[in-house]
Amino acid sequence: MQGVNSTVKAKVKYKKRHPSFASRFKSNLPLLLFVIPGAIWMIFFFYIPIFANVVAFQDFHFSAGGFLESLRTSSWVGFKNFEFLFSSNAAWVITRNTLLYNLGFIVLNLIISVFFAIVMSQLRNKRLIKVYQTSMLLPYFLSWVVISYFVYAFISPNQGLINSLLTGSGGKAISWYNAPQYWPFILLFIGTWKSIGYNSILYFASAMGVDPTLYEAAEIDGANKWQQIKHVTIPALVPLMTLMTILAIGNIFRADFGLFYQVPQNSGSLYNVTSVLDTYIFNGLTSTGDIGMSSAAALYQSFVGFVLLMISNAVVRKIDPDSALF
Amino acid sequence: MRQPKKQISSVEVRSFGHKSNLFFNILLAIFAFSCLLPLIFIIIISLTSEQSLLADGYQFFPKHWSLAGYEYLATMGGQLLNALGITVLVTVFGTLVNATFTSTYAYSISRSSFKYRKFFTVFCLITMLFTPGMVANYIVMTNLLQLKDTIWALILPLAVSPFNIIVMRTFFKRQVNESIIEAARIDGAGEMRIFLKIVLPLAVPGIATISLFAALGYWNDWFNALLYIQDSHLVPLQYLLMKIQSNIEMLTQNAAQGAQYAGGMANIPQEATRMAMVVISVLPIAISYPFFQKYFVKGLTIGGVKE
Amino acid sequence: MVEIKLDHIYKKYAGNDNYSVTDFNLHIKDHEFIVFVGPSGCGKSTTIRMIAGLEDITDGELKMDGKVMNEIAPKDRDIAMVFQNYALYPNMTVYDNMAFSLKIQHVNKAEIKKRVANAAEILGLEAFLDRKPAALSGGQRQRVALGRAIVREAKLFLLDEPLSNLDAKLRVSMRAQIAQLHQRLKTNMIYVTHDQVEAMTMADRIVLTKQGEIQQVGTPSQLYNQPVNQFVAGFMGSPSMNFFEGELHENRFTTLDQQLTVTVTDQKLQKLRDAGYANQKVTMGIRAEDIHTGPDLLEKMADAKVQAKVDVAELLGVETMLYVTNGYQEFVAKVNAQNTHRPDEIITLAFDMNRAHFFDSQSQVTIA
Repeated sequence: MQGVNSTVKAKVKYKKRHPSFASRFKSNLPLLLFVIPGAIWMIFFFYIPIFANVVAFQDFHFSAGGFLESLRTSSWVGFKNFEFLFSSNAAWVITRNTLLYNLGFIVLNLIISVFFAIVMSQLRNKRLIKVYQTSMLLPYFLSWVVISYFVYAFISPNQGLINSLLTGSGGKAISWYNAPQYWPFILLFIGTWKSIGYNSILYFASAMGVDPTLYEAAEIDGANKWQQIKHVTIPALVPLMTLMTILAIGNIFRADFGLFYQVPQNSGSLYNVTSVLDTYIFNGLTSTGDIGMSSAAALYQSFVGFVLLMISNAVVRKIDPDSALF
Repeated sequence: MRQPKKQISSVEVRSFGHKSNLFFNILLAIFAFSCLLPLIFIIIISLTSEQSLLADGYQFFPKHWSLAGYEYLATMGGQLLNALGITVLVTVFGTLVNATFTSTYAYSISRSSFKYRKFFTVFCLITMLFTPGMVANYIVMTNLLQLKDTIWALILPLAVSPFNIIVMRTFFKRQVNESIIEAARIDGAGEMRIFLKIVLPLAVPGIATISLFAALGYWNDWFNALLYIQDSHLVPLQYLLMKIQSNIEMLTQNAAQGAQYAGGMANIPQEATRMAMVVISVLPIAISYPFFQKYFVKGLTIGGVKE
Repeated sequence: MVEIKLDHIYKKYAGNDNYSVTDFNLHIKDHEFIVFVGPSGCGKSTTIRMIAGLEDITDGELKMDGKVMNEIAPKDRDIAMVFQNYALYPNMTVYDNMAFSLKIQHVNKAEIKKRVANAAEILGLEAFLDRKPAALSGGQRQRVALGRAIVREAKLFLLDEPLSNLDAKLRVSMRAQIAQLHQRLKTNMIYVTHDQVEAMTMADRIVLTKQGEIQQVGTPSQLYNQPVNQFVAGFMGSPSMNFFEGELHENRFTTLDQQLTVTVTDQKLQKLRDAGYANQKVTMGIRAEDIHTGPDLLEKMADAKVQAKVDVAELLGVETMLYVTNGYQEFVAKVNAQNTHRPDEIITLAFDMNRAHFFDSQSQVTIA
């Protein structure tokens, strides 16, 4: 009979038989091979580009000798690029536009899609819900190029439907692509309209996951429809709402390039209200050719985005650890 | 009506009264219709005769209908077919690559017996916290990898999705019980066979979802072409549409290069043709997505980001 | 068919300071049905998984027929395993589930068919061969998992809590089926469970572990009647053995609150005195079925009579379970149902002191 005395815990050293490194490596090899392609992609499309951000501190010029040669031959200028960026009016405008538009999207998306989701979850005819959902999803699946054609069909200065309605009723045609005062509304409307279908279906799925007996219990407790929604449905949606909002806040410095570039057709006279970080960086990179400035703007965007993501996650973790992203 | 009793009661509990039901139905119907309306409008424009377009602009009820736009597209061939071919090639090949790389990576880091699991999970998670930015990516693509004006510039940027990797990892963890893999190991199956014979069949819904998202991403992508493509032979459909939007003459330039149009150069129905191209580019998505809708909807519900 | 030796096996998980399995020594003979039993977290599953090759062995040697197996891949160990959650391949039919391992080994088609048919016949699964696991009941899935092991014709069967997901009634019948299977296949089986009833009814030998250490290895009756320590005594048997803290004075054992005092039999007394426990603290253990209320037995065991108040009386049919209190001490007696007792009644019970156990109060090791 062994191990009678459980208080004796001293470990008797016997022959060591650790699995060798080689055998361990061999048994992990197939799974290692599985991650290799993805890991290489991450190296080239994330880790090296992260390092390539040092060009923000350079007066960067492309050299035919490749990337390292370009880095070597470009001179270092310290924070000059940032100084130029922030002393220009553009930095203020693009930051303001990016933040305000995204804030608008976060609020509109949250309120409208949760509203639609709750409404859909309470409708009586299930087949109609399916029809609504399918229709609402369509814009989500289309590219910004196509959406910009949609917008163009309505507000084209010469053939657009709205202008011909305006002139038809005796009004004056509006040169939409040169009229900045309308664009904040157009952009907010289009951006929300495109994504609302997907978001509301997401919340709808979550709302349908609520245990129906909770509604039965609420009914028996005498809660009316609105009270049921307030005390049963909405609390069930809060975790998803939190998650989506953190993700959105983490991306608040990241504008939807297609919306701001393609829908206003990159019209110069609209820049004051349509120019956001992404379009500014793009224009700097491709047309004005000022790589230093646009890389400084890109690094500014990434850095602030990262900080915001960290802060919003920390705040959420403090309030409700289960809803935090990490 | 034929639903079992239990479901009826739960539906009842979740439903509005009849009056508010009607009200909210109308509200939703209006919004849902607003989502379809622009596409319907574009289709109508593409079927409107050029004279009507020039005289009255875009109208929901045009005076003269015409198939000229589509007829011209058919004779146009060349550039359009080429762009369509590039888009199809990039979509098919890219989706294949994306689904493969994403799911193999996700599978490996979902396996608790994988020794380097932690490292590669963090390796992937880090990429989601920070973004290298457009400029850095552009420099690496053009200057380091020298991929400007190659088809790879359209495929590689979207070839792996770290977010989908994390989603799929959770999906694998939930769907494929570790003990099933252990049973297969005892049965003598190697890692490759376990993945192909046991894991993949279980992961079909998840892989279908990420594949559909990838396919959609490739089909709708014009940004990478805008950045990296100048060679007209590599222009994908969306980018072609974009170029034509800002410069409608591209259509006629193309005609001058070869195709014969019955109506002669001057009568090319530019407006209708352009809208017909939009319709052609939207059609595959508009026709197929209702069938795949449930997979798309599953997309974010198949696995929360967290374990 | 195979002789297995676990030689000073240790297991430590990375990031864990304590060993999950400590100095595990066991020699399993041919055609033996071994049951690993113990509370959860006792290392029994870890041990069986090390034998299967699903976990690395941190230290020590695992030998099968004299050959060291530590670094042999699971598939080359000639074992079959049944998992707690069955681990059936959901995308394959019952037939394909059973045939999978044979297909990998390139066994010819006719042979596969024969073996699967044979296993299906043993388990009564002939009608379900074309079904997918999702279309089976819990008990049927369990049998498929067994069938998958049977077709392997492996030398060693490992069963990791195979019945714990079944309902009570099915568990009893599957218990019998597995025992029959062992008779029929004449292989070694190692069976892991947390249920001492399964261990008692099925095992040739039981290995009882606690916190990664073996407490006792022996036949069911050895563990039940001659437990080596208080833990074994308490774990085996239902309800658990009653324990009383007390002191030995002269020939009597008295609880610390002085409320209960009984005379120790001469034979046990001798052992206790020899071990130096005269006038010392000891723990006395007595099983519920060794406490009686019948008038004849009360008379016979006159020097071990105890007064107690009935808290609850549970009629089980032939027997009644009495939950009683004496002073601060609560204990359970399983008595003949013919002697009825009501709650709050003060009754007299007699301890069968021949069947009492004595343990060291500190180390909990059995003294007598």
